[in-house]
Amino acid sequence: MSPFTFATVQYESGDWDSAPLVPSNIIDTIARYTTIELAPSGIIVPLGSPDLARYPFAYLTGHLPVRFSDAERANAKQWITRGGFLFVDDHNHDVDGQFHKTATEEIARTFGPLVRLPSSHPLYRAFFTFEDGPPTTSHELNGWGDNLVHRYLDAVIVDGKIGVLYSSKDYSSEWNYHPQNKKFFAVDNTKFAVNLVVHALTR
Amino acid sequence: MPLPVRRTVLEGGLRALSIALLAFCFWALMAGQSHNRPVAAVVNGAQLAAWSLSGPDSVHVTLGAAPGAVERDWLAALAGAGTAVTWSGTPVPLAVERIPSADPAGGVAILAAGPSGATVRLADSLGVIDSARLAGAGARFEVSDAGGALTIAAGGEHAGAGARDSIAPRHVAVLGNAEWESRFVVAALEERGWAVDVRLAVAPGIVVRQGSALPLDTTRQSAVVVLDSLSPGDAALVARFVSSGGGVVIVPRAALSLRAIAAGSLQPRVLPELLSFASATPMRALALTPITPRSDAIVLESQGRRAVIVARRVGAGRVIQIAYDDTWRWRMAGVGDAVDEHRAWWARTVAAAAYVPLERAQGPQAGEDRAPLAELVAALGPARAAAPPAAAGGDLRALLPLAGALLFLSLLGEWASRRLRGAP
Repeated sequence: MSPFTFATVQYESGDWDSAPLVPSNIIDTIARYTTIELAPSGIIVPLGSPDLARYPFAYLTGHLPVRFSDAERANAKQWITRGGFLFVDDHNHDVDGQFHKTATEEIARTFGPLVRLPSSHPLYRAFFTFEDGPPTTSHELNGWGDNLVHRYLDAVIVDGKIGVLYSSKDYSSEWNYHPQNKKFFAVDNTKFAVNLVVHALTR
Repeated sequence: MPLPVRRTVLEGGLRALSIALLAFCFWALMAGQSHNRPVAAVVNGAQLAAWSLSGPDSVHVTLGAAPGAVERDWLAALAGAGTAVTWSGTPVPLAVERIPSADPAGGVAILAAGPSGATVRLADSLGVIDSARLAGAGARFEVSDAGGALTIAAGGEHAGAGARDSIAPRHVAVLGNAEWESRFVVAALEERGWAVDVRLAVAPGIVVRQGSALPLDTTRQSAVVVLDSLSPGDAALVARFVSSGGGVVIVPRAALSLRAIAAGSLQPRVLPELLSFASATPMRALALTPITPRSDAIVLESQGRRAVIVARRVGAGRVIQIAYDDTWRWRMAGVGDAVDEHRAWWARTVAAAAYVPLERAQGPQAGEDRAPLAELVAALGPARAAAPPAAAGGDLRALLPLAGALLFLSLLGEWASRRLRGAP
C-alpha cells in the first residue's frame, strides 16, 4: 500500500518554496485527526517530472509570476487528466497580485476554465463541516493583500471531479508555521486541510 | 408320355411363367410408385418442397454439412408428418454460446466448441472479427457487444448466436480506507458505468459514504470490492453476501480478514519486476503478493509461477482474489492508454465475480443456430447408413429388366415350340 505523501510542486518560474512549513503542518494535522496512512515527511516534485505521477495530490504556491514551461504544461495536463488533484494557493492574498493574475491565466490555459465552487460542494463536508464554504484566514481579516474576504474557491472540474482547486485566501501564510505551535491556537486553523486531503482521496 | 403331350405341357409351363413374370412386373411397377425412397446429397428448398408434396414413406439424406435451421426444421416436420427421415454423413460438430459480460459498458463472451485443432473464425454481419485455433474444449472470444448475430465457422460449418439475452447490472460496493487505490478503483468503476456504493474509513468512527454500501444485498449489489481489512462483523456480511450469490474481489490487505472465503493464502510480497510501466506487460511494474490457491480454486492469471488472480466459488457466489493493491500507479504512471487499460482491467475483474442476472429474450432470434449438428441429432436422431434395398417396393424395380428378358424368352420359347410342332 502507498501511504499518502504530501507533495509540493516545484515549477521553473516564481518562488515555489515560499511556504516551507506548510507540508509538515498539514501532515501533522492529517495524523492528528485521521487514520490515513501517511508518509512522515513531504516531498518536492518538479511539475515537469514523470515522478509527479507518484503523487496524485500536490500543492502549488508562490508570490511571483507563474509561467509553466511546455514540458511542465504537458506533464501537468496529463497528470490532471488521469486523476491528479492540484491545490493552488495565492501566497499574496491579492487578486491584483502577480501570482493571481499569472497563475489563473496559466491554469486556464493548461487545464481549462476555473469555475466558482459553491459552498454546498462536498469538499466542505468531506471531514469537518464548513457551512459557509472555505474558512476565512487571519490574513483576510487583518486587511492585508487585497483587503477582501474571499467567500469562494475556484476549481477546474475534470470529469465531474476537482482537478485544480484555486484559492485566493492565502492558506500558505495561514498554515506556514511549525506544527508544535498549534498548541497556542484556541482553534486549529488547519482543519480545512483535512477536508482537502480526504476529498482528494475519496472523491 | 408321347412327345406332343410333353411339348404341350412345356408350352403350358412357359405360358404360366410368362403370366407370372407379367404379374411380377406389374406389381413391381405399382409398388415402386407407392414406396419411393429418394436420396439427396444436398438438402435444398426445392427438394424439401417436392418431398412435402409427394409425401414419401421414407427419405434418406446424405449430408456434407449440417443443414441450416430452416432445412432441419423442415426435415423434422416431414418426420412429424409420417415420413421416415434418416441421414448420414460426417458434419463437423460445432457449437457457440454467447454470454453477456457483467459489465455496464457491454461486451460479450463468445464460447466456441468444436474439434480440437480446428481453426474457428468469429464473424458478424460486417465480416470476420477474430479467429482462433481450438485447443482442448474450445476457444473463448471477448468482443464488444455488436448487437447483431455473431457466427462462428470451421470446416465449412457455421453456428450462430443471436443477440438474445441482456443483463441488468446492479451496484458495486467498495469497502476500504481513504487512500489512492480506493479513489482510483471507484473512479475506474464509475467511468465504466457502474453505480458504486462506497464506504471508506477515514478516522475511528468516521467513514466517507456514497450510496449504501452496507449491508450488502444481492437485490442491490452485484459485487463488492474489499480494499482493506474488515471487522469480523463486516467480514461475515461479505461472506453471507457471497454465499447468497454476490461476487467479491479481494486485494492482499483484505485477504486475512476474509480468509474464510478467500481463494488462497498469501505468499511474501514481491517487488515489481520492472521499474517502468512502458512495456507490453505494465502489470509487472506493480508490486504484488502472490497467492497460493486453495484446492478448490482456479488460477486465472499468473506472472511466471506466481498466481496473481485466483477464483473460487463459495456457495452461490464467486470470489476473485488478486495479488495487487496499488493498481492506481498503473493508471497514473502508465504510458499510452493506461487510464483505459486500468479501467478495463478492473471492469474485467469485477465482471468475473459479479452477480448479474440475465434477462432472457423471448421468441426466436435472427441468426440463431447455436449447435447445428446437435440440433440435427435431437430432431432426427443419430446418423445412420443408407438402409439396404427393401424386399418390396421401389428397390424391386431393379429386377424389372431381368424379368422382362425372362418374359421375352419365355414367350419366344412357347411360340417356337408351338410353331415347330405345327400348331397355330
